[in-house]
Amino acid sequence: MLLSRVAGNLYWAGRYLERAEDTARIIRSYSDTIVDLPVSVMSSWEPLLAIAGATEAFDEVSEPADEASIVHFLVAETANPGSVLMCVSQARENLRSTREVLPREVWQTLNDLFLFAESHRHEGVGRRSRGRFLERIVGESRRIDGMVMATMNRDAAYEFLAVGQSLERADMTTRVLGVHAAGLMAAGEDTKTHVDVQWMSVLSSLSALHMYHRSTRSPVAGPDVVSFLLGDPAFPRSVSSCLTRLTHRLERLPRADAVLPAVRAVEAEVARVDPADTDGKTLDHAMDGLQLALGEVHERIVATYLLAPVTA
Amino acid sequence: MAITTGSREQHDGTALWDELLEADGTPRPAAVALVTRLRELGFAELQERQLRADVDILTMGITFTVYSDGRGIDRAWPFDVIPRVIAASEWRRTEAGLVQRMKALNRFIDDLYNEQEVVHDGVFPAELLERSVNFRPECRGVHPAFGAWAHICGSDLVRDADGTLYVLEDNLRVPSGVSYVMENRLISKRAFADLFERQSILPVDGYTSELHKLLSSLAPEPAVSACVVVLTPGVFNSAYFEHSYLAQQMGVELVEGSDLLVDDDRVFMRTISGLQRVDVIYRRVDDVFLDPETFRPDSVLGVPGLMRAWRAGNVAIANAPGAGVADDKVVYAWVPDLIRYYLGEEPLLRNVPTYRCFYEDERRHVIENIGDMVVKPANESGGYGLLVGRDATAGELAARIGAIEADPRNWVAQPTLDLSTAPTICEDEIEPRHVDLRPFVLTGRTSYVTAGGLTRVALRKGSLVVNSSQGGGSKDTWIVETGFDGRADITPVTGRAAVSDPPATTAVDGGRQQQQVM
Repeated sequence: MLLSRVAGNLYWAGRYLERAEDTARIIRSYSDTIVDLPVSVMSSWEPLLAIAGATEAFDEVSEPADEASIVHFLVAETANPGSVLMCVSQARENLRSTREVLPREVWQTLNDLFLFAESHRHEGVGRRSRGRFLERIVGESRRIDGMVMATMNRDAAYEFLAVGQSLERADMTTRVLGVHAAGLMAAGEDTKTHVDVQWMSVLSSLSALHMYHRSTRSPVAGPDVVSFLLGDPAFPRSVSSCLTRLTHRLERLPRADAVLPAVRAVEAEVARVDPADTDGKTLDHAMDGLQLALGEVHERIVATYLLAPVTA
Repeated sequence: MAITTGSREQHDGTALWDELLEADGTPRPAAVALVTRLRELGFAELQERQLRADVDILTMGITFTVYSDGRGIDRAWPFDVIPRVIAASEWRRTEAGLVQRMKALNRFIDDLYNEQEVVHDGVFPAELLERSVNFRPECRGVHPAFGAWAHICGSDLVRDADGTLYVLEDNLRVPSGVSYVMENRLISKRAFADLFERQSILPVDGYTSELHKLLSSLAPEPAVSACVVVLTPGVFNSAYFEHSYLAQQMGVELVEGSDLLVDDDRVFMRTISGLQRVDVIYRRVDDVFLDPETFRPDSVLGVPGLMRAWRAGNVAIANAPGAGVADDKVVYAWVPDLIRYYLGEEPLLRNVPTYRCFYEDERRHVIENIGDMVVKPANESGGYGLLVGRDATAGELAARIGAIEADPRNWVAQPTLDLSTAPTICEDEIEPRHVDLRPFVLTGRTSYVTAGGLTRVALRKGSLVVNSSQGGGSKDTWIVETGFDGRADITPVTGRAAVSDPPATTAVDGGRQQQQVM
């Protein structure tokens, strides 16, 4: 027995917490890479906005698209619902009224994380303190996830938290692939010198670099990276793994038949992508398709579990 | 450091009643074991135990919400580690008095919404009923199960200087505090584990299962397992901790208005498996917010159509809508008459003499003696609007007299009682602080009273206001079985010294002298 409202709160908390962590990780890795490369190769911070899906929202605040404004917008801007700070805040608001279904320390840790993010948000912008700030966001998110994994009953409440997390994680991986990887594949010959560094940046933005090497036993190469991040069943952040986990979680919920076909549709889309035979544009396009298909899964979840029926 | 009874004086210089100590400083019979232990432990050790209790409260997340700048803030529940003790023999009489009182009040409510014989028989004035703001015409003609309307009641008891217990008020709408009774006990067991082993202190944790049984018994159709829910206004309500606690303890859902819907006069909740029928609602939402179709149309806390479903007998609501008609502070003055009228019995518990400004002669008495009165609005709860005459300035008194004359029906007054005190850990020493007691009474097919209740303590020196929203704290309440000589039954501790907690004073303070604490 789980109230639709509570299920919704958990689902959104799972999504927001994952988004906060992923955004922090991506900004961290991007910051690390950009300082290593000559200005001619990689100088723009705008791809970060594209990955976060925040290009238009940023344009509305009409700031110069420089490092400080973009990082501030993605880390600390309260008017940006997708900023790290606001994601943590929204995860907290969603869990505030569902504390009774969670292990006690989960709420406390999330509450502490919010208080930290709010009071130290400016440290997330300046280059020198940024790394430590983002590290803390990622680390605390991992800690919360660990508490949930280790101490939470595997009941419907857990499933909704995990469903939100898996869906968001799959979506983030497609965004990184669609913007960052596709951009790399499309890059001209003159930038090829530093291409390995940038592929490594793609991997590390998903905490995938080390696992990529273990899994492929080969040097970093574009198509292999795409293949790994899309389809490697061993890597938990690959789109396929996220979809498998999503399926397993949904199968434990009532009325899952209304949602599972949408998940299978995403899996079919993933299978259609051939990393060896793709250019940047095709990849970007394929990732847009995946994001739409993931959006459909979200719609089905909302309609099946979270929307309030008006009459019996 | 020793506290003498001399510091506990009322205004005319005579001693106040202390819950643990006689006037000469010897412990009251039921408190012998406790006071002896407290004196053995010394102040530093008690402070240490208080500190540990405060840490427990924080980590257990026992909170209440206060409002400031429009924001709700969770505060740790203020708790004093020294319990308040009541002899079981006295408690049994009090319990009987509370059950009697609730029976009569429930008969009264049922009567008001049906035949109104109490009015026809001239016992309760018709004009008072007509002017009652808590009488809900929408409830006329409804017959809830067992004739019970106020299923859950929290009555406030106070003790005067001569030791008499009085009922100060009955809270029949959405009384709160019972969760703290149970949480306080958990903490006090940790602080005084040895005393719980050595004497018979009545347990308090049966309440939630009694509550669950009561609520289930109200289900409109007998079912194997009735679907009971707790309806909360939401996370920003000051008692949200308690709503959540009770739902968890009973293993039922904690719902908000938007989780429920009414279809075909039946109530459902929205779950991930679809709509599920609801049989019983323990609501912690005030009447006027329950159903925007019937009451306040702007309420987003309620459920449209809920009153229809209730009137149709398809859902039970506890407390029933309209039950608040009987916790009006004006109605209070009639309770002894109502007990005689409905039950043909003399009241077992006393009412505080109450002057009804509604009557000209009583109003004149109140205005002439306002400096010795506690003046209360008839329909407020939480201590708001309460004026203690002897603490008020001349300006405040004059303003209150004006308010009484402008709307006499809205005011009642009572002589200032010299509320009893209990030893309480203060900054530098143990000092007496005023206390009251809120037992909780369940009324359905049968009745149940909590063993003791919530002892609230006014932490500010001299203050009589015990509400947690206004600087009050709480204590655990021990109902202690006493033997034939009236002394608390204590198991001798021979040979058990090894298992009891040694005082930490010497270890902590490097041999500082034990202090006589009280």
